[in-house]
Amino acid sequence: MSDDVITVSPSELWFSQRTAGGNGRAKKLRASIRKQGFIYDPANPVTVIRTPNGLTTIDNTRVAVAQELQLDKITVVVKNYDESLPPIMVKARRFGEAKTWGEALRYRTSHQRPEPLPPYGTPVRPYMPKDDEP
Amino acid sequence: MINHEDLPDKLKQTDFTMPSAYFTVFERQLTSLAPWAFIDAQEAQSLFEVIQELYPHIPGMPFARRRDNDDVAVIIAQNTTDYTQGTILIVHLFASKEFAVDDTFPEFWDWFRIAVNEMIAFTSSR
Repeated sequence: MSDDVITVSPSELWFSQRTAGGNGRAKKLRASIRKQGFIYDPANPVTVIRTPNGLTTIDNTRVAVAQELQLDKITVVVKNYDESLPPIMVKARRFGEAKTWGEALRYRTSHQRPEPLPPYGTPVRPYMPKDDEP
Repeated sequence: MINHEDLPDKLKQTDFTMPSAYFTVFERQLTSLAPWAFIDAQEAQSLFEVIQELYPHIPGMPFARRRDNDDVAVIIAQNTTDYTQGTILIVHLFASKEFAVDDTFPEFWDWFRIAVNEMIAFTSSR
């Protein structure tokens, strides 16, 4: 593991979205984590960004489900606020014109509805559909 | 809007065309669906290449995305063992392959109805 991969309690992480896990995504992740536990996928890790308030995740559903299921620890990758985004994310315009993880966080929080979130996110877990909701 | 001449070269060589319903939405100016946003040809081209790189099993043309999360709407351009041409997928960009496809719709209008419902939900206070 490189230096920026850590294990952390999901309850310590902040969020960058008001909603997550729509279109059945939360349901699939709940089932997967209940069956296999939280799997660290180096190709698609949960990424968190270091802010003055702590660590805010950009991958909200996985962290929200881990918190909901009261997991003790999960493995995440930590990015510094001024660290460059991977070129493929810039190409995909995953976060609009953002070039750094800090800009990415500001983009994501500012696009939440009905109101934007504060720039560093929120400790409030995003709303996720229950398993019997669409 | 994505016209036929805007399609990636790989798709221009096939029988794929954007569905007529897609153009109807633009003709009737029904494109303001935040948090969904229809993407322009340049963004669609870049996203097409990214999706081909991340998920080569999804032969699709992206045409809309949500700005508040990583969902991208993709129309399947070629029949495969998994998908039928014209099907709309919701691809959760940068998710593991196992979790990349969140939902599927038989055709464009089926996706559009959901997008309108999501626009209403996100415009209203919870």
